[in-house]
Amino acid sequence: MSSKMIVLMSSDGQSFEVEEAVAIQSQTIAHMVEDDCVADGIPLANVESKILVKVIEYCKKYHVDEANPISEEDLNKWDEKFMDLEQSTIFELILAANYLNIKSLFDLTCQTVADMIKGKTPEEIRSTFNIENDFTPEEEEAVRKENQWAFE
Amino acid sequence: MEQREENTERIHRERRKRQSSSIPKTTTLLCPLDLILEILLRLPVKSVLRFRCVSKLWLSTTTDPYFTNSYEARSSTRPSLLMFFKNKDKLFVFTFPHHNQNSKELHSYSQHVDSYHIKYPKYCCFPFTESVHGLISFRISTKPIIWNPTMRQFLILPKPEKSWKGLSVFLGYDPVEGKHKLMCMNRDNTSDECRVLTLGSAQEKWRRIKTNLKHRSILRYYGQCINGVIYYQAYIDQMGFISNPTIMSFEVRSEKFDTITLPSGSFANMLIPYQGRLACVNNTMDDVNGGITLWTLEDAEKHIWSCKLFLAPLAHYDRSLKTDFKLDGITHAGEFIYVPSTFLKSFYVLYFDPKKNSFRKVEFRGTADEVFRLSHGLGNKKVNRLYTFSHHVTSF
Repeated sequence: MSSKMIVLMSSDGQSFEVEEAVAIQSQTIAHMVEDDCVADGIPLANVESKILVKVIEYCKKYHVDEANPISEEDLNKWDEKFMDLEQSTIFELILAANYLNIKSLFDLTCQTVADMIKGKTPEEIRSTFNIENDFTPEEEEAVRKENQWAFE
Repeated sequence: MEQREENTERIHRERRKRQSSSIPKTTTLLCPLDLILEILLRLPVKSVLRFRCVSKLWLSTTTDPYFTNSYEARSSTRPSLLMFFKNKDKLFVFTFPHHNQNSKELHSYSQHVDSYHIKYPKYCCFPFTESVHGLISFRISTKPIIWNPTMRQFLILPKPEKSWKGLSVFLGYDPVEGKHKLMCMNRDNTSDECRVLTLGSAQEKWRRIKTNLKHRSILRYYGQCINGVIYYQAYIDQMGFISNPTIMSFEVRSEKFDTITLPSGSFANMLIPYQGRLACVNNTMDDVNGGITLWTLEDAEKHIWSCKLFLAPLAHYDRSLKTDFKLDGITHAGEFIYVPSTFLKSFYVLYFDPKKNSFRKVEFRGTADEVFRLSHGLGNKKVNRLYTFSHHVTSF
């Protein structure tokens, strides 16, 4: 059983050798493999090495091995540990999962951020996402009043 | 001159350095709107509503039909169980997720995902309709009321017809146009006309719709709205004679009535959705614990039914909990859902697996623990009169 390897190149010039079967969990990479343009390695201009390392770690874990199936419970626990990262890293992972089109990683990262921010106040959200409040105080009050219970 | 320009450049450089180091590490400037949308879609409703005042862009994004439709679509792939009970002038509402069937344990534990209490409009009369695409209807005398449990809002509608002394209310949802409609009939007589109102339209007015099928709905059984058609059981008036019971269908989009012969020849004990279709549930024998026959409407136009027998009973008494449970519906995965008639501190849901012929129990702990009961004056007795909806979804 040959495991075909392909090379992924991060935006900052690092190369990573990965099994093709593991890498094609990324639809983007899968399409490139189909189109047969992977001979010299795949340049990933939008993914830094620090993030690519995490993506590869995820894909390796989720590459289903028939001989050693993992229970959903164990995968969930692994996911939790895997996502124990700084907020900025998680955002970068979202961007990478989107660019590389890895649906399950995209779901996981988006859900993790959602869980991290769900209890925040609007002011905290503005500071996390660097958003300017363009409401006048009256306008903001009107929006609050519409669903007052959400602020309690 | 050059010296001054150099100085200016240096000052700008220093300022940029200072600014960039004052931005906390957790900030990102690089999250495009479409990715923020994906995060918003995964938030609980309460958070979405709160974040509407973050900025005008976030307000317009989260009120846009693209967002609300996507959110509702995601929710409808994972319906929950909504339960409420009344105490004095308040409704106590709880949302429970349907518990993952993959857990092989016979007794699992879980938590409700949302709970709140709300004052309900005075003189509100239950019974009510099923939860139809997230909305439920009750009435105050002859005025229907729409309740949106997600948004925690009540909408009292005008009387459909002043002369009517009693009201039958049916709620439907047309998936094509994404609209809810209410269909009401005079409860007390057989009738060949109804009143229909489209929710969310600019002028919410009752329209009179006539039909050739003069009938009278049977109030003991609730209607169901499946794939844009409201189904309910009724007696048809044929030339002055009340016929055998039948199923009436009201297509929400076209507002047309039709009738379908009951497959078993007699009343169905319940109408429920099953695998996306209408199903009639009948006791297989006279005993409520004896098992059921499920008739599924395979072809709504040609009125073709399929029939399956299950050992799942209509009602079940759980000895360890000393509580009666009744069948409330069937999950997407094919487990039969049983809800209790009362509860004390924990709310239990039973799931019956027809393949294994066995029940499993899910205990929702702390649904009404001592602190809760004390703070709401609920006393120490079991809560009775529970109203449950096993296929509740979010509606904005």
